[in-house]
Amino acid sequence: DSWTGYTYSSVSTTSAVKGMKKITEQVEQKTGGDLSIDLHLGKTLQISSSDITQAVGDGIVDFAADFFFSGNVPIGRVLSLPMLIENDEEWAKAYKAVEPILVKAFGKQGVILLGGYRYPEQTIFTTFKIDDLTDLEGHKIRVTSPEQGHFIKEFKGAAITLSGSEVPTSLERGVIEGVLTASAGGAKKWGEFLPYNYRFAVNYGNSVIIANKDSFEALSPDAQKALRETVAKVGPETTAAFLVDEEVQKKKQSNAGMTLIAAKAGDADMARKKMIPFWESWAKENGPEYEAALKLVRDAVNK
Amino acid sequence: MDIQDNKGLASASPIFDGFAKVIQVATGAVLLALVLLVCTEVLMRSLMNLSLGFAEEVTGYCVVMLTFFGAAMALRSNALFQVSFIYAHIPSRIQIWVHRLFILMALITCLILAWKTQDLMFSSLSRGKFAPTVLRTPLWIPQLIMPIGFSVLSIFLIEKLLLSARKLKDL
Amino acid sequence: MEGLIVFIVLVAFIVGGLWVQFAVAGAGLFYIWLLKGFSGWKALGLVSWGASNSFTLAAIPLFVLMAEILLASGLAARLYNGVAPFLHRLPGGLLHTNIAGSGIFAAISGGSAPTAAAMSTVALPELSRRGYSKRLVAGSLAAGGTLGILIPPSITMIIYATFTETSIARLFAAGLVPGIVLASLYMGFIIIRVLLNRDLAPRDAKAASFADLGKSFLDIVPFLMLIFIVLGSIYCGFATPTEAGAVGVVGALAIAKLYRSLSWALVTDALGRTTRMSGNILFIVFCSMIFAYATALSGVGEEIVSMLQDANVSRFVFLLIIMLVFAILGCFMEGLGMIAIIVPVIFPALIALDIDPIWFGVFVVILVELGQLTPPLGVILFVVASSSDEVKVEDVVAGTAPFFVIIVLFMLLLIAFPEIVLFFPDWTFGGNS
Ligand code: NA
Ligand code: NA
Repeated sequence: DSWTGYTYSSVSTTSAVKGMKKITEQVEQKTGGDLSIDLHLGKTLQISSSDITQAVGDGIVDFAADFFFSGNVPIGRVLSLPMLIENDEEWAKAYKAVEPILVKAFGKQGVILLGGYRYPEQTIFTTFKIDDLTDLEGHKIRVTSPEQGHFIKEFKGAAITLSGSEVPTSLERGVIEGVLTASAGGAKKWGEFLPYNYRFAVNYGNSVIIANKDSFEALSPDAQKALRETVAKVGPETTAAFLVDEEVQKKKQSNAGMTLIAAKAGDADMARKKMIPFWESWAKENGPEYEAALKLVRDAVNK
Repeated sequence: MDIQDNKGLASASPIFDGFAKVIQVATGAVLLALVLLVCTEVLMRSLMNLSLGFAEEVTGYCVVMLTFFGAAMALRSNALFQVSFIYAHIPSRIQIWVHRLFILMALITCLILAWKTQDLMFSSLSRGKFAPTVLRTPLWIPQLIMPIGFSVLSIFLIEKLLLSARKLKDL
Repeated sequence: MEGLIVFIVLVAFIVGGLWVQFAVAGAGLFYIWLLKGFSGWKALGLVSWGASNSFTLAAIPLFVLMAEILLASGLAARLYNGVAPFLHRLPGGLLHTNIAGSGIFAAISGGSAPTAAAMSTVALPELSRRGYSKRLVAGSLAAGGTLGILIPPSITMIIYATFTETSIARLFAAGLVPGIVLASLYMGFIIIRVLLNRDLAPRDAKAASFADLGKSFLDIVPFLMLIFIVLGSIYCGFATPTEAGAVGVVGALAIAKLYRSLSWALVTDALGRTTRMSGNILFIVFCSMIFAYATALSGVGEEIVSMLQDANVSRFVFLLIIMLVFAILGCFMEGLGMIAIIVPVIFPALIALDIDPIWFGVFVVILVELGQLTPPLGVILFVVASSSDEVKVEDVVAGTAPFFVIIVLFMLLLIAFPEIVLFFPDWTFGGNS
């Protein structure tokens, strides 16, 4: 079989793309060339990042890394609720708890969820001096989801939505004064405009690795097994590579003049308390399935 | 720019004129709304530290509408890009047939795109897909603009076909 | 092989007189069919959505509308009347205003199409009326328009940076000096060209009095106010470069009101012209994206690049070949699509050849500019042609040809003296990236 592969990331040197390349190479090798995947990088196929789930479900793409799936599989957003998951350990527990729900939700879209990888925690990068969360008051912070927006508003900041391509100039000129991202993610591109990094983990972002259901079922059982096993192995390797890169980037950004500020003791407890009613109202608004998913995660991480 | 003999806003029937008027007013209104939307966002953000939260999203939808409806208006007023140095020098009887061939090819392209963008719209509808923003717009609604846009383009291409039939009779 | 067939079909239909947009989109559909059969078409829905649903493209209708309001309210003509006494003694007269105006406009807008569109709508009818050579006017406007992506802000540079993880601030700084140098080269060429043939531009022998100059300056004031509003909104951090278009529209309306030329008829007229003109431009960008999808599927870009890498060439030959590849692709592809296909694949080769990525970014931006000026598919050519009924695409092509040569020579200059690009960012940011 010859598959079309796609990833939202357009940077060939990032851990995310390296991981996807590794998967295609290893699968081709393991299946003796029976399954070859032609991997296209982000933006080359003119398919928006937020349309990848649909592209895979409709069979336009057979295999993909998908970060922006929340329009198709909104229940996955439970994993990105601010302050619900605060470290690697909690992430592992929470993901394990909701994985069956995700598999089912992707299945409904005609998509097989094979695995995934996770970015390091999204922290707060600003152009102004920040020592704790109260310093967000009155500042314009770019957010990428309504949930992040709620977090910023909770601390009296202004949550701004802005196209990614406009972020660097907007930071330079003060249209926005901060972003939520990972050091090994957006800060790699925008770090030069961001003199301060408050190391406070607001939420995590994860990518799923998915395949079209019909294409997958048309594979021989051996090829299916090879693909599943490779993703199961390389996915966590990619997560680990990101964690290594996060440290490298932190050092690099610090050397370039960025001030890294450790999270203030007590900020996390205070923020979590503020977020609990939001999680609940978020789940209630979205329906019983979401309430069940939230409960699973909260039980898993004891919150 | 234009290579047709029917200069400017030639019309095959008042029905087409009325239809074009509706499209023109709608497109102009969208453009005006886009200006208002972006300015409101800029003012609120810089004066009140607030963001509408949907300006970026809705701006994208406005661009989709301006792309297809604007193209339809450009087609009708014979402003769509054309290279005419060979075409202008062929005998008029052949010219009409070449022109008709071109209209037909454009029409086929439009119909394929109308059909495929309609499929996308239904795919989004059946998947319950929405924009992951504060508006949570069901995406089939803005995506509906595309098949409608290509249909409007097709209607104006058909008008051009009718006009060329009239021309052939006059010859 | 399929690529060659499609290319021939595309060129044949465009030259034959089919609407360019339908030729490109139709060729794209044909290409996809050759590669994947009818099932390949099922991607068209999502590709269409991805190609048209764009925030940054909103800059095109917004800046066109701003220019249309200036034009319809008579403010644009006022500007030309105002500038004339200052420049009329320079051989080429108002042609220099096209270049300088484009350069200033480029500092407001992130793209070449909006820059060319705004300047052309203002200048083309005015200059044709004054008896300038149609071709030279069109050429100066097309060439000036390309400054839009070289002088920061630049959407093209942002796209390049996202593919290569280079510093956007450095890229922006790197584009400034080459932008100014290129603008000066354009002006130098206009002077020489007009000195060689005085019929190309009208001459006003009368020297202007101080009173005249003062009166003329008052005519320029509204335009300076608008530049102040638009640039001010960006540099004070009120608006992004895309949003500044909308601020500019409101500013233009306010200034038209101030000069008592605002009316509802003016607004509806400007809206009508803008929807047609920007629809034309947005639609060709859209059709190019469909074609770019087909090209990406075919893998033809990757094939060319891997051939290059295997050939083991020197730095200079490598850059020449890159120029050639962009020139060929630029004939039938949209700029951002070219970057998306070529840059990620050749980026590793740059490091091996010790080519500075910031310098290469500027090099690529200028190559994209060239692509926008080459027929059959040169966006800027069409933008300029569409702003006046009297100017045909052929006129723009003919008028642009000498400027095309200037740009190619300028690129060779950049290869010989990379410092032209690098000294300013090194000076502002210090050291190497
Ligand atoms: Na610019
Ligand atoms: Na071109």
